[in-house]
Amino acid sequence: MPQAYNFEYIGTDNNEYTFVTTNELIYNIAFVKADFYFPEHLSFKQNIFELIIQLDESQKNIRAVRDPKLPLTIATIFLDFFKYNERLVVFSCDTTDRRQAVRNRKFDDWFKQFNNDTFIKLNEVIDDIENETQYFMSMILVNTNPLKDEIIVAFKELKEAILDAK
Amino acid sequence: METLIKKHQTKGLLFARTLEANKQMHKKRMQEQMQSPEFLRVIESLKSKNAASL
Repeated sequence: MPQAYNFEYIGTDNNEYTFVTTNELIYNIAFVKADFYFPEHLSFKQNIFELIIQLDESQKNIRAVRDPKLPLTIATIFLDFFKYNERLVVFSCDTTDRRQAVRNRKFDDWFKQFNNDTFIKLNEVIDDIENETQYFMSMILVNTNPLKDEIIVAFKELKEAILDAK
Repeated sequence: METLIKKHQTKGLLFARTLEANKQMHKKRMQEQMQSPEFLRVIESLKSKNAASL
């Protein structure tokens, strides 16, 4: 059974964690406060954080290999961040190289592998016709979040709004 | 009715676009931070810990 990589909480204002893989790939993971999403939901908007995963760009030529410790480490960092169960995280898969669908599938696989009913993951795909792209957006919250029902409804309203417009 | 639809459409798209734009801004900042001496010191320490736990 693999163990997670050692990681360091480097704090700053953005709840940043960092770790290095066996291949010496350097990851920086941030949970940035984002209380401007869902401004009408005063009950939980202050607990929204945006997830950012940054791989050191200078290492992007290093060939990616399957590394079972990588998703395990990210899962461990999630558990540390969610020690406050009212927190929730939103993110979208990077669209810059148009590989957002692949990233979405991979993250989903990791989530299913490591989640044991602790977390709920909500997914929505938003079409941006003007920019000819699709956004794969997700929200993750703890199953025991006291505002779970209200949060789920608010997230789902985003997609319903798009469908209404078609 | 049409105004309401446009408002809804704007809400969903705005959310997605804002999420993406914010991410790119933070990724750039984080990348710069990853080149700082303090950050590199943390990385060296983590490499040592990884080696020790092999």
